[in-house]
Amino acid sequence: MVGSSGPGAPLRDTTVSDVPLRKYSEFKRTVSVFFGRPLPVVGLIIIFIFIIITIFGPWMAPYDPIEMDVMNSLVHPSSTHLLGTDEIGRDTLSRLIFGARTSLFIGIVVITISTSIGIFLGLVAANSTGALHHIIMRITDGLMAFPSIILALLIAGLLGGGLQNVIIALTVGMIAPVIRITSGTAMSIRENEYVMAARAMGVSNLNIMLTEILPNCFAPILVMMTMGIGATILAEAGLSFLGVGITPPTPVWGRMVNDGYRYLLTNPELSMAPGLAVMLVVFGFNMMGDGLRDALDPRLRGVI
Amino acid sequence: MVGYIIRRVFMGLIVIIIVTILVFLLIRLLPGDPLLMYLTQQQFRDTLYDPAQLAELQARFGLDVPLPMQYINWIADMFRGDFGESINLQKPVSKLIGERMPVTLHLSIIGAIFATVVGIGFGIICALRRGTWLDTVLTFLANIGITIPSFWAAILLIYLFGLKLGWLPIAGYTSPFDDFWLNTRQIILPIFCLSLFGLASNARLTRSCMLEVVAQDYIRTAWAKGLKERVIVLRHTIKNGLIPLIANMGFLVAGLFGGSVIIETLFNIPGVGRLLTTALLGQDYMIVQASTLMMVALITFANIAVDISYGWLDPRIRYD
Repeated sequence: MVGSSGPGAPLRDTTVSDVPLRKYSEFKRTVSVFFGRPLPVVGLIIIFIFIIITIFGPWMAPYDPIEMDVMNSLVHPSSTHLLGTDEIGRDTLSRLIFGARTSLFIGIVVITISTSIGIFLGLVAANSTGALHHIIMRITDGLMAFPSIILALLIAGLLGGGLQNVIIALTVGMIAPVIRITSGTAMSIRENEYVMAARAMGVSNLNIMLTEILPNCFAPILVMMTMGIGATILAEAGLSFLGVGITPPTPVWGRMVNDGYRYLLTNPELSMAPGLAVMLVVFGFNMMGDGLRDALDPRLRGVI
Repeated sequence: MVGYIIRRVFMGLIVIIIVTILVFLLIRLLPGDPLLMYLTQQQFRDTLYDPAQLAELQARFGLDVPLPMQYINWIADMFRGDFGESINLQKPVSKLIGERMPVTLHLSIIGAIFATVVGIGFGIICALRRGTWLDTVLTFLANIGITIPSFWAAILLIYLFGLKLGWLPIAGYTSPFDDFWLNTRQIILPIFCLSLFGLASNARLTRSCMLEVVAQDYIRTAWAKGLKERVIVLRHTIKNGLIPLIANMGFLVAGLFGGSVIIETLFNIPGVGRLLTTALLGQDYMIVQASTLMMVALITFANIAVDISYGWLDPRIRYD
């Protein structure tokens, strides 16, 4: 990094000269880079609020999200209904709060399953030669050729909506990038001297995978998981917006936007509020992912 | 270079073959029998489980042979230009796609140009004015742009420019050959919403690539030689900094086709995206498999073109 004048270079100098006795901590450095810039912190705060809402939602929501009240339909925002009500009198704010639970639940479940499968297949592909390697990688290429929304739409549409099918559809769409990142990282790390040293010492292949290679894939996969939760929430909103997502009356943000669209002229808050919620949450996960990548990726130190 | 091109085209063809298998298997192996649906839709409810009728239909759609044979027949039919017949619309699928693909391509091509020119422009401005308020504002907008749901952006713009200000129509599509001015007014909002993600990601990528190049030794050498700022920026920084942008073009094309599913439905535009959505909701499987395949094949061709131009611009790529 000759000639760069970013914050990384002076940081390294001070660690060496000014505080020689303190042990250099990679964790502390990562944390300080992450919290050193505003956007990742904003992202973290948004995610924190989002999680609080999903946990304490039932106590925070002023009304039952699926309870109809036809006498008070399409009410404008007021002190009794802070965000108004929809065409059958359901409280928008309460539906928004319960919709957060569905979003986060789907995001976490989909990313957990797809990352586990993706890491497994990625390591298998990186560790095998010949037919198995090519089969896994070519199917990955094939899946990557689909725009993720079209793949999810295809599977969810063919299976029919519902929570379980939406999770399956989104999971399939998220596996391919994890396979590619894991196998790519694993194959490049395998060329390093310390892996060769371990091999020379007679460490078994499986052990090398688990103790040398997997920990080094941790950073890119963590970044991908963080951003993946945001991408999943966005894709789920797109699916339910198109009408192939979670079945009503469960409140989901995408469908709320679509339902409210018909009343855009008279009650714009019906479709604006859930859309804003999707955007804020996805923004939060993306910014946190960005921050994590900058903090964890040594190559970017000092550049950004 | 020739060897590289042959390798890439070969890889692309393999991807397309795998995609055809995936689409074929997805439609055949998932639950829900298209023929039973067809019978139901044809109002044969009382004879729903009549085996003779089912067998007759199976023979008509070529579903009475083993799965691998069905696949081969399907591919062979496609090479003859026969994509099957739509169950709901009672028309050949090739004709339906032939009518709608030009609309989607029209939107996608203008969207791609818009996202590339404006996105790269913003990225360059940010990199050259790094740390100023302009950089902060544009970077923030780009971060919003990559996270905003396209359907929500569309609804915001429809509300503002369509309903409140009344400047632009909120839905529909007229052929530019019939009424060019009306067509232009109709496609402004859809194209903006379609290209928003690509524009924002281009801007972010341009900014970071340019900043990486600015830190290189040869740029310092160029300054030390006393070159004019204009020459350093145009000839050395931008030219090298934009090479990774070529790789992003593949994602851009995929994003435009993927976005067309939502945007065409929302703006009521008769393109392939809306055709796919309505066919899926109406369980019109012939259309679903043909239109999915067409889109993914076009994306794969775009990726091959991207890879080849990338290898042409950056010789290091050719020898991987």
